Amino acid sequence: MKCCLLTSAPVAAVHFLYYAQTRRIKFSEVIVVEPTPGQSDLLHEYAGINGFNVHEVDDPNNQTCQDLLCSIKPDVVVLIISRIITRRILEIPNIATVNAHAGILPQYRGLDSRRWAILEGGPVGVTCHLVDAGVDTGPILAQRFLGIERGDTIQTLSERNYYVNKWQTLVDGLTRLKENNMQPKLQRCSAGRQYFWMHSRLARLVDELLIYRTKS
Amino acid sequence: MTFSDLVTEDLEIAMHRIEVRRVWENDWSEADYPFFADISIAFMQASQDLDDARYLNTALKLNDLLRLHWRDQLALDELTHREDQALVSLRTRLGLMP
Repeated sequence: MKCCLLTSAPVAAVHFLYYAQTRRIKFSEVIVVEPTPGQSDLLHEYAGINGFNVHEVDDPNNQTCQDLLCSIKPDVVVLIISRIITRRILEIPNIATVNAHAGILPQYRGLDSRRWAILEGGPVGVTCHLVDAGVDTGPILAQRFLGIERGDTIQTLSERNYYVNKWQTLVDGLTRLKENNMQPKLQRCSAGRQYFWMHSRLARLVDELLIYRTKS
Repeated sequence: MTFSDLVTEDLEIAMHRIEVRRVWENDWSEADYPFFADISIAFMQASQDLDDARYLNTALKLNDLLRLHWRDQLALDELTHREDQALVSLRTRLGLMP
């Protein structure tokens, strides 16, 4: 399975690539979107050691990126990017485009999923899903839930979700695709709602609520 | 395009349109602000009636925009009062001290 990573976060990409390799998922191509000087140094160093190519494009949806992806002919494109990707890019890989959403789907689509889940008493975790034209609406490949522990703050919860859940869930999904051992689970979008960036006043209230709920 | 063009009678669709277009980041004419205020008040009320804090979230963003640009101090005071009420109501529902 030929894997390509499309990312706007080169440091997070190194975290992910390192973890993926420990579970025998190897990437041959990495495309850095909107590169900034110095940010990709670690990625380039890691590429030299681990034998993948690094490319840079200004916009994930422009013609340059489309031509590059077409020349790579990937089976799977993994997104670690905060931009919406157009359908013509999503349709390039032979198998699928895959994303890790930092929330539980279908309940919590969109932004700030952790805080919205805490506010509503819902589940926290990560979902790996195929990407379609909607926002976090594609079929689900894998999911991991995260328990809220005594003494948790939004920072400890976010860090634990990142280090213990996010890349693990993404690789769970890729492994299932590679082994072709499961049918992605279609989402019932009516079972969830789309959430948006949380205003700072509401975010502070949620942070306070989490501390209140986990203090004893 | 005026603000009223963005909004239909359906509040959820209105919320989506305002959020997706990030209305609070755009330039608007003075004539649009009273309509923003009306929508914000409707959102704050809906947030309490429907127990859905997404509406309050969007209202808070609109209120920031209004406080930055609108010159009707009386209306702004009323908006801030309603905003405080909505936040206190939410805190109470969540079991937090007002």
